[in-house]
Amino acid sequence: MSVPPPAGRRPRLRSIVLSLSLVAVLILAVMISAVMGQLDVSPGDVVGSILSWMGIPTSLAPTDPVVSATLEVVRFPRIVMALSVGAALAVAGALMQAVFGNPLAEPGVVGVSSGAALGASTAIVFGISAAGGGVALLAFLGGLGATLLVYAVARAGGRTEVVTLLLTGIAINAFAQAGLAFVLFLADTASREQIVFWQLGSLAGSVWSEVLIVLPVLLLGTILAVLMAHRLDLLALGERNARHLGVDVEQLRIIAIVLVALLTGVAVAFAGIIAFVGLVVPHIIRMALGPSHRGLLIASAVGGGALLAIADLLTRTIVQGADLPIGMLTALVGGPFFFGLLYQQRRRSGGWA
Amino acid sequence: MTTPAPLIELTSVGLALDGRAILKNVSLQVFPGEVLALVGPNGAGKSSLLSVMSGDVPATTGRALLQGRDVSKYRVDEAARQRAVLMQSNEVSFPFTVWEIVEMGRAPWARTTSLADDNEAIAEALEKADVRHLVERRFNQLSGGERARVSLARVLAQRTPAVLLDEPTAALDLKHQESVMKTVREIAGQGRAVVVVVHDLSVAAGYADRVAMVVDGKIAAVGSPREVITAERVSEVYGVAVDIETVGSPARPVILPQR
Repeated sequence: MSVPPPAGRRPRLRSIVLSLSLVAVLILAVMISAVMGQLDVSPGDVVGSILSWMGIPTSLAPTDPVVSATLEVVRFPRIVMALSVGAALAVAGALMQAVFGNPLAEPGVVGVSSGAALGASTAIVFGISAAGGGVALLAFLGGLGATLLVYAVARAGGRTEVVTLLLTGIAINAFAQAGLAFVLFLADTASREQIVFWQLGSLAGSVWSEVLIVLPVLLLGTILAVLMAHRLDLLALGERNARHLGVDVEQLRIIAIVLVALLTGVAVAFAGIIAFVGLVVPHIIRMALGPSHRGLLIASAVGGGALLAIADLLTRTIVQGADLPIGMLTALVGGPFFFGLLYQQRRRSGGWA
Repeated sequence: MTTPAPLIELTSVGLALDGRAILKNVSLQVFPGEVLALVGPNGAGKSSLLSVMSGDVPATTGRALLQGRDVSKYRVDEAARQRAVLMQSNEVSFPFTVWEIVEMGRAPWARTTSLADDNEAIAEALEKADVRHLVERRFNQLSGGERARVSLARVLAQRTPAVLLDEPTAALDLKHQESVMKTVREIAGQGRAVVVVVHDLSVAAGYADRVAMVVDGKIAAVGSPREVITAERVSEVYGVAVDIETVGSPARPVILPQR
């Protein structure tokens, strides 16, 4: 029996090219983000600063203390936060799509982000250690609650019809908004303002202590997700087929859902609601690489990070001297994209199912 | 002569879903090396019977054994190395290629076989289901019959002792219907046990070693095709008068509705 042609597998060259260009875009975005801002910094300063942080003293290291402070205290944490939040949201999106067997599932659309936002604002208003882990923990719990709710309501036989998914999203978003309104009503003026702006999404004022919460969660979540990648592929055949092929479907789904809630919760807790990253990034990667989850998850993490770094750069450079809300920007781009996807799906299946 | 131990053994299996009795007191054995066809009217419980055999649904009463062990007591990955299942409808959520889909059939054997074995199993499965020319196509872009054959290839690549097929020929043209049933015979010839649900009684009579007629959740008859598929029984069960002719070489029965 002859071995089938290797052409049956996806061309490797394409994925290598894509990965390299994603990394290139990522590095470029990081570099430009570090250079641009109210204080002019040269690319040499940036490289030198990174090298000296890694313990390699070079002549490039910035001599001006203002420059090195700007980079180390203001710009770098913000950039790393953008990368982490973008990666977390993209990985959460890809995971959620795998569990729901639907490419339109996304934490923002389905209401997981709102659930996390409700949890986080509750923490802010009741002063549950406003800066640190309390907000993240309640955001996680809120996100988890919302995910479990969607999961329980919207799935049938391992798949979720588009209509059901969106309607469930509407219901959960409405409920979470009502909760948010109530929390806002209870809040004093200061935390009310804080919540309103935080909800629009922003990476301004990111500090290392926050980054150090987001980054480990992102790494853990992404590694676990990649370890499950092959089983997530099998899930695309439907629950029963996946079980026939030896996948413990229940266990897989529970782990995936907790990961979605963790990744979304931690992103929302420190950056507010940034919608559509989890929708747009995996979709584009899937078109380029194919749906196999190992490549999809890794490339989505890199692509999500790059996308949010670029988006964040735009929010602070489009209008001179002002920080636009980043959630507004991603929704502005993601909204039409989502609409296009819906239109495509509708044409294909000949209806809203 | 001693008969070999049955690969699948159902003893007085009853199944109730939402208080409705789907299966009633079903006892059935399937032996290695044989093709058992399940026939019967729509809604008789054939698919439910397969679900019990595969361990998807636990029997409400009685017991279902696979290789002598309660099928619901298997770990999912162990069961996946003992039995493969082709379901009636096969949809795939994301645009995987045909190669990727068939490769998924090897998942239960991860870390137990070599890559060469996997490739050999996949190549054989692609050949048998006649989908080799489709390997680079995306599953979602295939026709219904092509999808059915790709799904069959996935099941064949799994290379399990027991193979359960729910209407593998439903969406197929004449040529592929014949080639699929020949494949079914071949894999039984390798000493595996095949249970296949078919609607075409002539196909069942022509290819199966034994036929079990399922009516209203019960086994109305089980035995050789000639014993089970008789004009009187078919007329009674289906409510359609039929003639049974013997044609061809080797001679095989053909079931024709009277008009």
